[in-house]
Amino acid sequence: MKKDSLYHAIHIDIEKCIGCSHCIKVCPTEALHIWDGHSNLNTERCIDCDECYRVCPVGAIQVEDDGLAQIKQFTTKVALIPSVFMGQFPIHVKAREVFKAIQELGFTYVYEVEEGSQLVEDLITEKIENQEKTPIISSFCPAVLRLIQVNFPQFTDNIINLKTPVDITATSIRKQLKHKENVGVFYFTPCSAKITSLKAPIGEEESVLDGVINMDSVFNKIQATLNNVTPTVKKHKKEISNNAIKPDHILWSLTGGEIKNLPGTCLSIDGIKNIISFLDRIETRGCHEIDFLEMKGCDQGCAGGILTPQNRFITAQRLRNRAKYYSEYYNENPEESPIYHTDGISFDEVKTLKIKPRSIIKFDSDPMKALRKMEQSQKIEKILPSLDCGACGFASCKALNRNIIEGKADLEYCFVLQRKKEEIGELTSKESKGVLEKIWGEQKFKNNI
Amino acid sequence: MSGITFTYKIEGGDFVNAGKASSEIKRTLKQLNVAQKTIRRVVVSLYEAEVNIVAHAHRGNIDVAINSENISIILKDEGPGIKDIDKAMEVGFSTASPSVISMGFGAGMGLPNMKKNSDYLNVESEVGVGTTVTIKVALIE
Repeated sequence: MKKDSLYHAIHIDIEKCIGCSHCIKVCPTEALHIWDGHSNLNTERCIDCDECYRVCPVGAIQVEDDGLAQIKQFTTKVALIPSVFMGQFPIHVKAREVFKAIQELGFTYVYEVEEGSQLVEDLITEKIENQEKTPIISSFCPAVLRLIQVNFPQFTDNIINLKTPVDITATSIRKQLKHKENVGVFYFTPCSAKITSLKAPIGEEESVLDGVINMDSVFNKIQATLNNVTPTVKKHKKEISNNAIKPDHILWSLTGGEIKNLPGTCLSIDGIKNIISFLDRIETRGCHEIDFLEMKGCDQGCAGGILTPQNRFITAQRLRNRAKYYSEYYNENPEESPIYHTDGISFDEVKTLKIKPRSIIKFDSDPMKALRKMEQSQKIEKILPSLDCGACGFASCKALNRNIIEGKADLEYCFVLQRKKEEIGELTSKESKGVLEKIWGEQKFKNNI
Repeated sequence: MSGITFTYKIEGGDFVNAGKASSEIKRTLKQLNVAQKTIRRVVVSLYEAEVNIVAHAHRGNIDVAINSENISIILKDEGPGIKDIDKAMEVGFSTASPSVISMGFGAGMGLPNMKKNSDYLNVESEVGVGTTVTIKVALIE
């Protein structure tokens, strides 16, 4: 895959965008602003957290979808599905039936992502026991990694240099299928961040995956197939569909899923805003008591991903039920235990490159220039009204301030300052309107009162 | 020399807001693209000093001045003062009350940590009146 480090799977459809400013208000990195009547994405600041997608009232924020056609170029087509995908279906739908429906879409094999969790768990355990630099930060959520890169560069050294279960399972699948012809591995993704990870990887030169299938688009097709299947009659004897997963690991992508069996003091946090406030806190106060930090950008972890069609709480509960079922199965069949295909994989095969900081906070790379800009910024801060109304097209007075310093905006964008300038004759009301039309588009000013 | 200044007011006993000044100064230094290690040293020193005011004093002021070469922080409090400054500089020496210790503070590392992480540390104190701590850290190596 071509590497473009500023690629993002999210984009704004400017035909649909009504320039309402909902998205700019929720963006944790001030990556969005309104200009020309629509939202604009600053690709350097975006961390793929998908918060904007959730609040858009008109569906103008879209996720790139390569569709199912992409699998055709491979002979052996592998679907790599995360457990949250299973959580999209009611308990009475057997995993076996879902796998079959996936195969009917054209896939040769179906594997589950969490098969790779055991190896990750073992390697993290080793790192905790070796007392490496604490807190060790999970490499699981790509949005969190990007957040750390741009806002908390100090913690890039704490991120564990270990691939995630998706990549490890994909590596394992390639080994298992090495005698097969032209193998393509496709991951069913619950969010846009994983698509970005594939196309603009951080921590690896090239993704081990061949493509990504968006969970929402494939869900309807599978649901349609399942509707044609008569529900399996409940058998008295329990059966499981995958003997390569430990019951606990079905919960891996939920909040707390990674730390369940880890030694030491571990903490899990979900929601991008919670993560920001926690990292800010430990950046000031230090964090010596925590060995391992699991952070997932979405509330309820991947069950809350924007491409998952079902309610996140219901999905999480279904996964807990499945894990319980698996656990009961192994208890009732003590002669059986999970078989891990990742056993022969060494740490060298699954380690990542160091994740480099890419600060978006700095005013300038040159401290002298940065200081001068900060002086200027302090002066502007005194002039701006601290309303954070968003009428300038930026999320807050602070965001407007920064953009003025960067030469990307003017004081006149602020409508409070416009009134002041009109009063002292520095601006005519027509000029003021002209500025607002540039930001919000002429259309918004056309209707008569 | 050109530069920027900040002033913060600290209330004794206000553990809820302890660390706010440190957090804001940290953000400023990140914006100035100061090296991460240096930011760490400033924040550790300032945070310890800030918590000292909260834990021991009635109230205090923090004045921060940043220019292109260094950051200088003056923390002036009204409080009990320090009887024996040399003793207070020793690792593990603490006069913190049990309730302060129960909150995870008062390990007797405050002044030693400030000394370790700053380029200049001066402590002046008058018993029954208050303490003034001056911390300086060079921003360029």
